[in-house]
Amino acid sequence: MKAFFLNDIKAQDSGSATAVRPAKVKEVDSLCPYCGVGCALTFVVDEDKNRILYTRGRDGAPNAERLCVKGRYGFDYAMHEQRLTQPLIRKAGSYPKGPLSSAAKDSTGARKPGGRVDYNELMPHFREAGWDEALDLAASRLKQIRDTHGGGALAGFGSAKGSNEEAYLFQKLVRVVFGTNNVDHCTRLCHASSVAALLEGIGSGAVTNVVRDIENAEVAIVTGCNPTENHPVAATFMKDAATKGTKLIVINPRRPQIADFAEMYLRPKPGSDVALYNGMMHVMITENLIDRDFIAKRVEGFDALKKVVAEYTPDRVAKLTGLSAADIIRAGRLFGSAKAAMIFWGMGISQQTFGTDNARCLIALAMITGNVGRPGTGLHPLRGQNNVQGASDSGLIPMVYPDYQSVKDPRIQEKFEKYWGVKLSPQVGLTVTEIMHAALKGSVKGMYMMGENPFLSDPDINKVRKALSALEFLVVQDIFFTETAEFADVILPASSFMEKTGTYTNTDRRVQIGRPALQPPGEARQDWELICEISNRMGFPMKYDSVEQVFDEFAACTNEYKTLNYQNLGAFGKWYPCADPKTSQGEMIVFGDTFPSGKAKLVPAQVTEPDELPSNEYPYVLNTGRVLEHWHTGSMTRRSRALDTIEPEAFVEVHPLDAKVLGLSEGDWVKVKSRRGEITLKVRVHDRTIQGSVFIPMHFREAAANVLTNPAIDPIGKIPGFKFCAVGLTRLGSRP
Amino acid sequence: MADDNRKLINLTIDGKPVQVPEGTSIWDAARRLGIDIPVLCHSPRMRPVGVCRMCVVDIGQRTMAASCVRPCEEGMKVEASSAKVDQHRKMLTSLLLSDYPEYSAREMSTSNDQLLALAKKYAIQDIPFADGATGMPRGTDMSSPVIAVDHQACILCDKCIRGCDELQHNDVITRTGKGYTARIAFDLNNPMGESTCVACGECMAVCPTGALTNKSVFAEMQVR
Amino acid sequence: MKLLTKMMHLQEQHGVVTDSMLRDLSKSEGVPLHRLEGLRGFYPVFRRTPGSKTHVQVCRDIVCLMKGGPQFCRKVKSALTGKPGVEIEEVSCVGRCDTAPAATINEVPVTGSVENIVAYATGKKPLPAHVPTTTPRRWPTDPYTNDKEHYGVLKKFLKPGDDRQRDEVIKILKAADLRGLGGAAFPTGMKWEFTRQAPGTPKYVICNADESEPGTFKDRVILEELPHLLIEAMILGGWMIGAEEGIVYIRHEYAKEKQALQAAIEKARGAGALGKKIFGSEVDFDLQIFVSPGGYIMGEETALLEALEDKRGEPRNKPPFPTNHGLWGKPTLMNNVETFSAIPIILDRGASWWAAQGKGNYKGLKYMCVSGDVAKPGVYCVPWGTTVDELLTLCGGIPEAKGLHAFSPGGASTNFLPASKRQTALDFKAMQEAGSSLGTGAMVFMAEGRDVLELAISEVKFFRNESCGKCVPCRVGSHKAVDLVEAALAGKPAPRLVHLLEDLNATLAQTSICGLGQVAMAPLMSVISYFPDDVLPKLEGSGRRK
Repeated sequence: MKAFFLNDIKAQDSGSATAVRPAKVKEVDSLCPYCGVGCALTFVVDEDKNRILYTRGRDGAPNAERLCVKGRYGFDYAMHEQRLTQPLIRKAGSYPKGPLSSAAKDSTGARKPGGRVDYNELMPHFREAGWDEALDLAASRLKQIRDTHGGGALAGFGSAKGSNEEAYLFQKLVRVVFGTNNVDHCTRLCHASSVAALLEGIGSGAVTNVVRDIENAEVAIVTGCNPTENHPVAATFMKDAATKGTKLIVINPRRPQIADFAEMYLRPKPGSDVALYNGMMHVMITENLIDRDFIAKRVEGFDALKKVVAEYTPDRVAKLTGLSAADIIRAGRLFGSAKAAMIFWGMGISQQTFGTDNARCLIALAMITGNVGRPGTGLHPLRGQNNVQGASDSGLIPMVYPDYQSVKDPRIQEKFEKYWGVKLSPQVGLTVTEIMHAALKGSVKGMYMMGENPFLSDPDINKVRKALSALEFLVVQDIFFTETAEFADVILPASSFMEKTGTYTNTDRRVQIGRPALQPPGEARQDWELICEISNRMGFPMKYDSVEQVFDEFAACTNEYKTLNYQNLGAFGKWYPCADPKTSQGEMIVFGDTFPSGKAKLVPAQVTEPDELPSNEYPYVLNTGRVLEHWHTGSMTRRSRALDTIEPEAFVEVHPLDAKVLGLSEGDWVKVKSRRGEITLKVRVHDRTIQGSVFIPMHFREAAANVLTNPAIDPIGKIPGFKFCAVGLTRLGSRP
Repeated sequence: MADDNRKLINLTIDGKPVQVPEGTSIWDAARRLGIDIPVLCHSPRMRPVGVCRMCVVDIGQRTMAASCVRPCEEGMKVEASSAKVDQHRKMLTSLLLSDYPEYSAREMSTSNDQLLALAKKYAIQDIPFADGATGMPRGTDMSSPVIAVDHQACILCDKCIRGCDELQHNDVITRTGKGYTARIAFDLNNPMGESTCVACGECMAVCPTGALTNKSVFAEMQVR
Repeated sequence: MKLLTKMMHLQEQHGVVTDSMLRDLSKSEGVPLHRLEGLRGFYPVFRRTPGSKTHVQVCRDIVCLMKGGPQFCRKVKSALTGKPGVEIEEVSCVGRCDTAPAATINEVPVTGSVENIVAYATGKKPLPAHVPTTTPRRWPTDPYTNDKEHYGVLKKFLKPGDDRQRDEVIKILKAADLRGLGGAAFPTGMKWEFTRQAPGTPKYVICNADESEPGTFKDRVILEELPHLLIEAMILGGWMIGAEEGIVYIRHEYAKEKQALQAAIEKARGAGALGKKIFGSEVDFDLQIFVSPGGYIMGEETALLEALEDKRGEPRNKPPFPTNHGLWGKPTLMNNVETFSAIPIILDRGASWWAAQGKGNYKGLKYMCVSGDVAKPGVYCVPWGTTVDELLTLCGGIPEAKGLHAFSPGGASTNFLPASKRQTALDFKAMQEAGSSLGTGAMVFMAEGRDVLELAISEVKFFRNESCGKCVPCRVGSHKAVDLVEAALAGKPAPRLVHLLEDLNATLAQTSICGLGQVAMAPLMSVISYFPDDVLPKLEGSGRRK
């Protein structure tokens, strides 16, 4: 027996095919398409069959060969048979527009609005078309709306999952060709409030210290986030630091797994964040645990802040947050006494109607203790999408051009008019949330959406459905037939992450190159080329010989990217800023001397109530979020065999004591209702959710959390408060 | 670890002199000289544990030293490539092969079975020990949606354990049992698919043999 | 210690450690489930499923094999199979070789015939009382004649208590040439000196009372009858190195011995010898007993430390050594029971007196545990330098006037020597020169007619059974070694078997992490060397098993 397989080693070695591995494989160094950690990996590919066989972690700066389940096993969506392969044009008989999915396809059989996408239901409403017909139709209709109603009647949603090159071209198209600044992407739903506060406070929305710098931190606040599930590989480095002595202060009404590694876990009442941070600052100021030297040299507005937080005594804060005064004092002391302390935060901070205030508090915490610009310090809003940082840097934002240069500034406007050779609009554009309102009103009539699925990701999706239906013309460019595409007039089949070359900027400000491992299926084409096609057909010539050329054009009009190019990015990328790419990896830590705005500006915050408080009819607070195995609207992950097998269904997580009151057991079906709509789904009972609040992940089309959520937005960041609205629960039974 | 402040140690490996900061392992020092001492349980990404013993070197003491865990000492004369050392490596490889399954899931899927690579390196033709793999007594575990567990191919190198517990901090895997019947286990010896495993795949990635491998991606791709 | 202590408590209370209990423990202690599984799966005392009311464990190792015969375990099993509420299990040496063949019933040692054991197990006879002796013997290494004198040496050195006293103690220990008597023979004075000098705090003193090698039971007697000497030496050790905590790690099979030790500890506390400000000095020191959850490997010093740290008892790579990096990474003074117990008299009467106790140029007194083919098995305290032959005479010689064929002088790992070596002095160097080792001082005499190959293989099987499984050569090699010999005895020897065994032995000896793997095949190799006419034909397949 043994001799037998030893001979086989030779057989295997000579490259003959075995049961699983083909004779010849190709290895492509690339990146994971999912989250903002931006893990470097290698795709191992069977070129002949055009499929990815498996992945291997690479030793990238963000991940050191580590991957999570999505990066390791979630790549197969790109090869799913539901990939769009032909341009599609809506048939004349399928107007007026409305949702095309009538029946949910889950085991309930119940009919619900916004149900699961079934190709058998959708495809009959569209006809396959050639590229020329589809592109000509798209370009001509958009042009018509522009010429009749002005550029402001058009809007574009770019993608935070697309590359920098795609983002740059997209916003250029909207600004140059549509003639409007109505361009935005899902950052609006994510860190818009954090970025608003950061731009206001220090003049830059990017992180000051990279994730792995936590190894140098004595203390780290990890607030409003669940990194073990949403930035899994980053969480492993946080846990490394925690096991080596870094003290984590984990703050979240819903207990995240990383609290197992925390020195302190605080569970404040949902919506009471400002009180908690003001309370901590009260303690720090009272006990002189602040850096007066730093404040004197680098900070403005301390006195105003001091005055406001003086009212947030530990006892008052205890009442507001439900925490003990002792814990508030301990947290303040722990953070204030640290020589180097870092702050990580996520959606719990930003996705609130007072998200900007929350972020202002975190900025103040860092500034008054001098915790910026040194190893183990700093502000790190954990960026969600793999390229949300890059998409924002590329100007996919209504208020700014690439590199956050304001559209209102005449000198900037002149610079870009020269650079692009056309007149540009000085009017700040509409955000994602505002565009939906405008579509409903009728002032925005035509839209071009690339790689976005607002039907599931926006709040109050019953309203979103109406808004999308109201559009005169909608072009959707995507890899799958998404729920949003049900409202499209033209659908363009695009390239997945695995089929394109492009640069992506992760949460650490690291710019890395993704490379193609697959050929796009059928007639699907590169996104960047499609943007050029539309531009050309709308009258503005866009021609590039390569995607690299696009990068060079983008980089040249920025400060942060201008030293970078594909050669010096190489296989592992660089952090920006990078003064000398020949000798340096770029800066892991920034703002050691000064902030882009000069001094940091402290803006004190007062506690405001969330927009929609619980009531008798809607007694519970709805918290929404994500799970490890799925990505956002599920277009990708629910088509990945491994991920969908591990976590196939929607659920609402209820605290055991609430479950008792409601008469709910594990696995029961329940109706969850808000003022905006209702959904039906299964119950999971767990005490990680705070009593009085329930948690629903956003991923599942058939029980979409966003049917329930409140479209009220933060006034400055314009981000919806996904983390807080009021719901009621009714038990349906142990069967659906 | 920063090289800077540590004392420097001088030693020779296979007659070649090398200077390293105090605390450097013999294995790392050898790598600096371009000498790749074979390993199964060691990876530079992880804390060394010195359990496979493949990396043993002769330092002129009563017993051989596992170079991955042994720090260099001033004046050490290390023989990393002698016939005596190779003899031991061959013996250790033969011992492991005697219980190894006929086909390696790793060699078949990702072509990087490190035990078979050693078998090839030492040109092992005959294994003089009783075959412990007949009937696959150690069993398999196919409960995870993504990872296939073949206990018969497990050499108890501890890499999956360090990967899971110390790199990913998922804290799922341990050794259970003792001696010849020791095996890896998930949580309280639950099937992998029923444990707290989050399918990050680190264990599969670091496993040197066919014990933990990827299940095929295309097993059942369902249309939804 | 915390997790293991809690788990042992659960095992004791419920007779089992269930998944549900471990889930609760995981939550309350904040440790992942896998850590608890790792412990439950490794240590023999833990059961996953409840056992029977009567749990009979029968010893399968060398002396019980000699006294009970190779069919002993099987006979006990067949006599008890089917009896309600009784389960039988074969176990490794339980440390009662002087009353072999031995078994335990619900942890109470019983001995004698199969009939005897069955009678106890079925309840026909009540189990013997398992309590410490109320009449401990007087031994030559006890400087005290009565209780009131206990801890006199401690008082003497703690009175001034300063560093010059410590220097003095080191000097005496070195001059006495006391060596580690748990098998490693490391000079005790040097060990005390190194641990004293080692940087780090806090430090620990540990007594390795996990004596588990077949044929070894000398520490058992010292624990039961001279615990005060052990305690006194540990306190001196704590004072020497600056430790405030001492732990005695004792095997669970020594229940009554543990009771004796516990009583002595309480007495010492009462007398002011343990606790804060001992005898009015600035020295704080106290002792606790930790009962091992089982396994011979726990006697390996670093495996022992791993258990105390609530991990699986798998030996560490050395260096570093416990002297510098011991319990929790801190300097730890660890000595064997007998080694510690020799210290008070040495310090009391001086190195010259100690030297004079030995024969000729040999120094001191040695506790030898003798078993096997002798009329009076037991523990004997004899002068170093006594010959093997003299010891045999002291033990009443070989019964039935048979001649001596072979002996194993120092425990399961030591080479078997032929009778021709009977004039060898009991001494480390002398025994080494004779081709074996004094090890722990566990002497097993084998009469003419004994099958040395069978007995040697039983020792190899012991090591195979007790291997922790951490490293490849020991885990796999010991298993394959036994396979090879059994195949040969069944008439199917592997080609060039002896060469193969030699190569395999070399790899185990050279590459195993710890002493167990390093010596696992030694007894086998020794009978091949010293008894070739007897052994080689059997291995080459031409001889038959009796």
